Amino acid sequence: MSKNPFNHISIDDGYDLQIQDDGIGLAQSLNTGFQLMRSTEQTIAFYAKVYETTQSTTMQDQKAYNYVMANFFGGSGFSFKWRFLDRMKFPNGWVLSNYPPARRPSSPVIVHMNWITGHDSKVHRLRENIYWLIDPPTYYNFAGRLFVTYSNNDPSVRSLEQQTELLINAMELAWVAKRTLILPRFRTFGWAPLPDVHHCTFETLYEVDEGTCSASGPHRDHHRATHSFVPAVVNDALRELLPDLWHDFFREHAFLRNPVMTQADSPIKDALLVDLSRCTHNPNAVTEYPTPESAFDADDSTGVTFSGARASLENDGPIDELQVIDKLVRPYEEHALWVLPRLHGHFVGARNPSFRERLRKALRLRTAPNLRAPPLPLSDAHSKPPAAAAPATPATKAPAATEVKAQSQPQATASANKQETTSTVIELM
Amino acid sequence: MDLCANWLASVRFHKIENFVVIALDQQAFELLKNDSVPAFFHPRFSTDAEKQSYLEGSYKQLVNLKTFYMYQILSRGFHVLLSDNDIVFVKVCAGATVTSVAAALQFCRSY
Repeated sequence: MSKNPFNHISIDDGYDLQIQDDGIGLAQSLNTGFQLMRSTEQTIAFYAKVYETTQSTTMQDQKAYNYVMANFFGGSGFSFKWRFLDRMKFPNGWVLSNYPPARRPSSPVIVHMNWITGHDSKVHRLRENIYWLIDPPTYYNFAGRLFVTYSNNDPSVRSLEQQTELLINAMELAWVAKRTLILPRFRTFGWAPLPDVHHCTFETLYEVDEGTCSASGPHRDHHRATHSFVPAVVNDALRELLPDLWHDFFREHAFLRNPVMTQADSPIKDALLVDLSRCTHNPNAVTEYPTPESAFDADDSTGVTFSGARASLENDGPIDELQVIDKLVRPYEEHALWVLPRLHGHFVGARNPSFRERLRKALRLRTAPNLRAPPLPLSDAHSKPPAAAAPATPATKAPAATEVKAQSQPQATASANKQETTSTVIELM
Repeated sequence: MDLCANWLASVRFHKIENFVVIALDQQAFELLKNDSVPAFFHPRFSTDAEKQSYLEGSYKQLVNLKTFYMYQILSRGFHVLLSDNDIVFVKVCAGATVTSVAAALQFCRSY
């Protein structure tokens, strides 16, 4: 929150109408959700025309605004003075959440949770941006509560399917460890963890309902690729599946960055870096990987790795991944937060198909269809080539991931490279 | 309704007082009234509490009410700053009247 409130728009700016820009690329469009109007003959005429249009056609109000503006009020010779509000100061939901991080507004005046449907999705996105102001203290009360988080920044994790697989693994781990899962950031359009990729929110990645999505038009009415993996849905599903854990199953990725969490007994202060990657049979897999994006500071924490530990456990006979977790990490149970720098491919999930199957079924997880990189933001369009924002996934990079996926879900790999072009919903179940 | 509460929290954080929330159903209006929120409700220009879904007929009626209300308010000579309630005021915007269309009140029941 800004501590220095001041006026950013005024009825004395000389405009009849100042309105939010709903555009995401070069094109601009009117957003009816935030607008400042002077009561003048022109605005009254404009609204009369818009209302008439909504009544005489099937257009809803926002389309009618744009229609009326383009056909009756946009041309010269009319004294209606209006302008779009600055997209960086008054960002719409796409600009706020789906632009590459470097191009997002750094100091918005207002934020608008549009370009996403559903009440719970909006709330979750507000939480992710730390604009949700009314959570009760219990939401942040971590006394006696245990957390786990993981990195989604692994170079081998690119596609939505891979991110989903990782998420399922993490959920399973959280379930086994009886810990609240703090979600990492997910990547919608970037296929590799580069600085400029499009980070997205949970909802942008997944849809759970049967929403009829077609991403064919510039307007979001036709572009509802953002469906919800919403907390309420998850909680409903998990309540039955995990009766002892459902109520605290996960938190948004911004949870640890929330100012509320700077308290003395924050779990960040008691974080343990748990590197399960060394549980593997494959000695080549031990590499340096980025730590999770969180307020967590690796320098201040202790860490454990398990070099060769798995092999020694296996001396007593076959074990599954959950037993590895249980036996190796359980001694560190007292740490409030586990941070896993790498999960993919090494913790390939428990050999507990029943749980995984039920989890998938309960969550009705699907990747959102036909996600494409959006047009470049207006201000940068001329300086950067479009290729910078487009996902680049050379097939030659795939083998490492393929090997990993083959253990858990072969069919996901096959569809991964088609993700960009297919217009069908890819079901993971 | 909690989106509206969040919107109110952000508005009140900036000590903005000159606003009115337009409730689009009776239940929302009662809740706002009980919370001493300046609110307006007219049963004739409201929506039924049936399930609302984006782009379906009743949602269209609902958002068209927004235009209707704006027209009425402007016609009476008021300058208006209109804000949906899935907006958060990060900074203070203007010294104009702030109006929230309580559309999300419907969403609360439908999602």
